[in-house]
Amino acid sequence: MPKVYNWQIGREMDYWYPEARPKKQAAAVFDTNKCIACQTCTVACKTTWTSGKGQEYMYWNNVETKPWGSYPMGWDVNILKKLGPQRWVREGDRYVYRGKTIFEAASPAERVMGYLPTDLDYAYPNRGEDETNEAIGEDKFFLRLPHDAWFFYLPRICNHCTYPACLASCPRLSIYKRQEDGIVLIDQARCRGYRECVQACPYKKVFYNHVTRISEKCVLCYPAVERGIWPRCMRTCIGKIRMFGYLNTPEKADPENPVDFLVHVKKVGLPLLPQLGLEPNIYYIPPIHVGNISFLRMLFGPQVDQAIQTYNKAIAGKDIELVAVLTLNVSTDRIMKKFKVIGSSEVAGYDEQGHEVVRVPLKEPAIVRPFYDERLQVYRHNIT
Amino acid sequence: MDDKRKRKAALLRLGSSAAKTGKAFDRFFLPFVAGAALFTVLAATFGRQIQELVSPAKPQPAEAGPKADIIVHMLDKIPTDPYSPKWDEVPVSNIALDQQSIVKPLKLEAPKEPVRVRAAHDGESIAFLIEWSDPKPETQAIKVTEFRDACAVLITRYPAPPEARFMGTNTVPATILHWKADWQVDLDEGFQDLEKAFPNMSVDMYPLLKDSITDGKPPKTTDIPDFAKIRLPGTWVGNPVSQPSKTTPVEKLIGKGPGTITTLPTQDAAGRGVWKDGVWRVVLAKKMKASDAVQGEIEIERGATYSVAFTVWFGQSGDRGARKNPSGLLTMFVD
Repeated sequence: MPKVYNWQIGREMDYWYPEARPKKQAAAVFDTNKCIACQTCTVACKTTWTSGKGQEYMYWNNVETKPWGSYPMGWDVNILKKLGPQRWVREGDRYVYRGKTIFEAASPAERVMGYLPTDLDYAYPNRGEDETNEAIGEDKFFLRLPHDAWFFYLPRICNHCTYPACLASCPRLSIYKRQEDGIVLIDQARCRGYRECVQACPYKKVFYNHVTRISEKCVLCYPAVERGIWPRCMRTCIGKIRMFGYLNTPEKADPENPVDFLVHVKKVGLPLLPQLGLEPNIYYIPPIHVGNISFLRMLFGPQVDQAIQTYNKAIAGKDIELVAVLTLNVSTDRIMKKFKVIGSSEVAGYDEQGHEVVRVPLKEPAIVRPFYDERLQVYRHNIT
Repeated sequence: MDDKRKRKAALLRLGSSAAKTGKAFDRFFLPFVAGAALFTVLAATFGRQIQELVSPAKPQPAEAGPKADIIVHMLDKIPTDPYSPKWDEVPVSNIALDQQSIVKPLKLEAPKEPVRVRAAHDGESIAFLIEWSDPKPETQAIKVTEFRDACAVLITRYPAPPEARFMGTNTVPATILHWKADWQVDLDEGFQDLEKAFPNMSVDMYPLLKDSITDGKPPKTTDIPDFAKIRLPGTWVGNPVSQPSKTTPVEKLIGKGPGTITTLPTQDAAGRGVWKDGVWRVVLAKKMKASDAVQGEIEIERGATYSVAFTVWFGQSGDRGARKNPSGLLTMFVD
C-alpha cells in the first residue's frame, strides 16, 4: 500500500491510494462544552436529507451521550476492541501514534479493518441518553471541575476524512473525495450496494438504504457549501457550538482563519479517534468537566489535557482571541475565511472575498430590570 | 582450388543432389529454385494479408482450435425454465469454482462441489443453466447484513488473457450476465419492500407523501409517484439496483477490468432461477446478436470459440462484489 502522511498521528501510514489532498478541505469544530443535545441539528438533517422510505433509521447527524450512548450501538467500543490496545509516544514536543491504524491492522484479505452493524445496533439511537458515567451517590461532587459523575454530548456527522475508509474500501470506486472542497460523496448512480463502505467506516456514518439497496452518507450540504453557506446541521445549532470553514494543513495554518485558529494555533479542536488513521475533519473541543481524562484521551488523543487547559484559560478571561472565535460560532450562515478582533469588545468575520459578513460583541449586553416594577406594579420572574 | 572455392562447392553439394555432379547446370537451376521458393513465401504472406482485408478471419472451429470445455448445443428453442425437460438433452460440464485471491477484498474459501453448467442456443439466443448446491437460499437484501445469492456468466473473445476472467480488461471487454436472487423474488412475488424485513414498522410522515399514510403504514414503494421519488436517491438517478419494478432477474453488463462493470443500455437478457431441495438452478440467456455492440457487447456466432467464466455468490457467507467464487477462464464452442 502507498505511504501517506497523517499529521494527526504525526507519521506516515499505509493507505489504499497515494496522498491526494483536496485544494480546500471543508472542516468544522464542535464545542462539546456548549452542546445541550437538543437534536436540532439531527432534525435539520433528517428533514433535509433522510426522510424518504428506506432512510428511517439513518441519522447522518446524531447526538449521543457519552460515555454510554452510541449510534449505532457500540460503534466506538467495537472498533477499538477489534483494534486492541495501541500506544501514543511522546517524541520531543509532539505525540506520535506508534500503534496500528485500521488500514495497517487489516487482515491480508481486506483493505480496511471493520465490521457490519446489525439492524438491532441501529435500533437504539437514544441509548444511554443523559446517563452519568456512574451512579450518583452522596459522596460525589458536581459543583467543582472536573465532576466526579459526568456525561457529555457528542454530536457526530461524517468526518469527510482526508483518508476515508469508505472510499478505500469501495471496489467499484463509487465513492470520491471532491478536489474543490474535500467533501466525500457516494455516486448514487454507480453504487451497487456491496456495503463495503458501511463495514469499513469506523465512525459508522455510511448507511444502507433498505429500499434503494445502495449506500448513502452525509453530503455536508454541498449545494449550500458551494454557495458559501454553512451546512444545515451547523447553521441551525441553537447552542452555537459549531464553527464551519476550510482547514489548512498545520504547516500552512492561517492564524486568522477561525478553523485553523482553533485546530492548529490554539489546538483546542481535536479529532475524534485520530488513532484509527483517517485524519477526520470534524474537530471537537473536549468537555472540561469530565472526571475521567483517560476516557477523553481515548476519544480525542493525547493532546486533550493541553486543550482543556487552554479552554479553561479562555473561560477565565485570559484569552480574548479564543473567546472571540468561539463567539463567532453560528453567528452567521456564511463561510468565514478570516476573523478579526475589533478593539477589545467585538469580533468580525470575513468571507472568501474579504467582505465582512458578521460582527458580534464579545460579551452580550445585559439589562437587569427590577424584580418589582413600580410603574406596572408587577413582579418579574425573569429580570435579565 | 583455393579455400573459398572449396567451401562454396561443399555448400552446393549439401544443398542439391545435382550439385554432387558439380556441372554447369547447377549455376542455372539453383538460383531458379531459390527464386521460386522466395516467390512462394512472399505470395503466401501477402495473399493472407489481402484475404484478411477482404474477409476478416473467422474464429477457429473447435476441431481446428483448442479443446472446448463447454459446447453450446443447438436446440429448436432454448428454455428459460430451469426445470424444462429440454435441458436434459444438453450435456453437463462440471466447473470447479475457485477462491477470489486477486482483488481485495478477497474470498479465500472455495466451495468443494463444482457448479454444473449446460449451454444451449437456438440460433437467436444463447442460454446457460447453472446449478449449484446451497442449503439455504438468500433472496433478500433489505437489512444491512443481508446479502443475496447470485451467479454470473462472463463471455469474452477467444483467446483472451487469463486476467480477463475478472470482468475483462481494458482491451478485452467482457459481457456479463448477472442473475440476482433478490431480483428474482421481486419479480415472482412483487418488490420486497421495507415492510417485509420490518413487518411491525409504523411511520408518521414522509414529506411529499403525507396523505399516503394510513394507520401508520407507509405506501408501497412501487406506488410512490414519480415526483416523490426524489426521496429515493438511487431510484431517482436511475440506478438499476434501486428500481423497485423489475423486468428481468438477469442484468446485462459490460466489464473492462475489476471495478468497472456497467449496466448496458439495452436490458434484453432473460432468465429465471429456482431454488429447490438445496439446489439453485438458474438460467441466464442473451441474444446472440449483440444489441449493444457499440458498448462492446459480444456477438455470438455459430461455429465460433469464446472464452467464458462462471461465478457464484453465496449470500449466507456475506458474498457481494469481489467476495465471490469465480471459475477459471474456460473455452466455449458454439455448435
